[in-house]
Amino acid sequence: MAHTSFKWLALLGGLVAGTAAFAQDSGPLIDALVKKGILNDQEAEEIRSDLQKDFAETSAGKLNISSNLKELKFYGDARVRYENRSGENGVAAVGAPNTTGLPGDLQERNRFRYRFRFGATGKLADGWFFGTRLETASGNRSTNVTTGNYANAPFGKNADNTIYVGQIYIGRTVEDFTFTAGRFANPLVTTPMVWDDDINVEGLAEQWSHTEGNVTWMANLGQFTYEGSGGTNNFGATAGKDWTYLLAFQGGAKVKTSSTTSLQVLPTYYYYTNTKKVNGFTALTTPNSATLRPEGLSVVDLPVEFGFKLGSLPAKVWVDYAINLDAQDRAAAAGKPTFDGEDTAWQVGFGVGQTKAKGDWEAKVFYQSVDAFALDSNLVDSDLFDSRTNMKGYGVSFSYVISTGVTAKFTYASADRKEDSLATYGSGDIGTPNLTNYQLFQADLSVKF
Amino acid sequence: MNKSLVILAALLTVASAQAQKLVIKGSDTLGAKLVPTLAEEYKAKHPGVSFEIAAEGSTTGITAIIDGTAAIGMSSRRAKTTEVSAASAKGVNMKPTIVAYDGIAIIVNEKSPLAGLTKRQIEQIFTGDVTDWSAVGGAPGPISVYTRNTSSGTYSDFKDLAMKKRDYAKSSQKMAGNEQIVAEVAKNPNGIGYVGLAYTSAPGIKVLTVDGGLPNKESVHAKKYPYARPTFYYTNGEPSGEAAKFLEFTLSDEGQKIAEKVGFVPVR
Repeated sequence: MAHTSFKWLALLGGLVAGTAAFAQDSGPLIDALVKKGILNDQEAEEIRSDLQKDFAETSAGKLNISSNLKELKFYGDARVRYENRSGENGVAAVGAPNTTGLPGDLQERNRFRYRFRFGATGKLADGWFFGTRLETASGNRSTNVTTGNYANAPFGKNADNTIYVGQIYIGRTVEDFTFTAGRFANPLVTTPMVWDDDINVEGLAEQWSHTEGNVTWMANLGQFTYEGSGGTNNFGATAGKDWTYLLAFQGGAKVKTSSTTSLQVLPTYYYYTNTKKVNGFTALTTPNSATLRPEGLSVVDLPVEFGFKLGSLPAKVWVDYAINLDAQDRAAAAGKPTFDGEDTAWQVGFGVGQTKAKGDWEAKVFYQSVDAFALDSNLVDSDLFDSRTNMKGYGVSFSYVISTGVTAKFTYASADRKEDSLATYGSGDIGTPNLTNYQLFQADLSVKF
Repeated sequence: MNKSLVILAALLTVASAQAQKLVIKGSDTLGAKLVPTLAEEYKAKHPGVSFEIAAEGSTTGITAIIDGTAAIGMSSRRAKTTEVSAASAKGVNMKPTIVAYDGIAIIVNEKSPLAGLTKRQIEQIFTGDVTDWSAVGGAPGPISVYTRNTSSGTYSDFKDLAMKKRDYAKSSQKMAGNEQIVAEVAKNPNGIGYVGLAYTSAPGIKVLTVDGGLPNKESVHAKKYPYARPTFYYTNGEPSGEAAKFLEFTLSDEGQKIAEKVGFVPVR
């Protein structure tokens, strides 16, 4: 008994002498010592108090976190980037004359950029959760700040240095269902061909995921506010403004076809409401705009991914095929009714490797071809092909994990205008509606925490 | 001149002796009955001592020790880490001393047909998951939940011990003290509340068993009653002067007999 008691006391002594954080977990041990009669209640209380005082001296001990929370997590990342982006002013498309220079002119942008994002997520009782993320830059498809690009240079600041609320949402998980409301990361499984991954959508999402054997069934629904500026029914004679919504319907499955292979198929349908509204959008007859009217868009998208092992490395091949069922309306709205066949977009890609631990690497390559009226140019990736449709080309990237949480990434993309008779719809950083011979190089250093 | 100094010194000594006031703040559970009774007995033995007792909840007692506005802080709960941290920042060393044990009793109106509840049912009632007595075997009728207010140690102890730290039902009514809860439950046939053991002999109420057991000296001492807890005096380090003497008196055989008589479970 004396020997056992000594062991208990030695363990407790170790706790007291050990880290304060560890000592916070010693309540059950103290209770056990009281039960065994090794400590009396008062002695136990004094030890508890001493441990609490030690813990109170630590940073964690000074935090007062709401008892409503079951879990609170902080996360974020910082990134510095060098980017070179260039594009040639192509032959003028009919109805989209060159206003920025002669055909053959090259515009080139060299930029040093940085971004910062900091978020918190929390879980409460009964499956409720919330999240927020603060980030630099005001753009919907970028969180980058460009160095030196200030009115009050040197070393000034501009609007992009401001910290914005990138995400703020609440939600609830009930068994296989997750419901989210607010502003949050895109809940749909997709590729950069259709959605820029910097976009945070606003509205509602309902997700369902259920695994049975080797099959995980999935459904993702979204009701997103696409545009909603101004009032809906102003006083006086002012015409009311209707909001535009983007509705997304996605359903499919991921099947484990063997211990090392899987196939995921998630057909998706995108539907837009009130697409002919004037407020907040630019008509398609002015193709060089980042806010083109989502007129004539009713898109069926089919992202397919096959995962497998290449040696010991994870690898995947993916195909994304999309067709706009209302392309004739979009072509007509653009004043190009004879180009109603420009309705298809596709991407095929291959990736190998992973970026989880120090020394990991990942390489990706893809080819993509997007017809002028196939996709919503307000949503497509802003970097790879400069936010445009009517482009075809390829991209490669290589990532290397220098240290846990620290990654270097290099990206190169090259594309040309697909149909020279049409403009390159959408607006990126190269200021022409007739973009061709586009090239992008990015070198990133990122820290994630 | 020498005479004047002697008289002045004598006056100061008398004034000092008459100014022996012990300030005690905090828990209503301790401060409504036990500590005033102890103070009366103590004063009878030490005529020069007076007491200022404010029983407005354990939080106020702990805050008073941190702020230095009381010599003893009564508490029916342990100090929170943030309170200990705030104390450390002011150079205050929060020292707890167990002065008695208590069991948080579940009380209902004496006309209730119920004799007991399970821990799960109690959690459901106080969190609002269950709102009608018929769901827990009682006569149909809306349940009226009475709790202590947020500065009460019993309020937070009960959340920890009985409610898995969940929130109280939104419809629950918050009372300033044990006696108010007893009064409301005695008036309301659909009422339920919780009070310290010292308040369970009031007319109009009855104590329910919890998982078949009642709170009493044996079950609390043996820690078999699920809502048993120690109660504390908090001081800034080792107490001194009158506070030390009063603490010693509280823990003496005489003091502990008073605690038992009032309704608490003595430490020995």
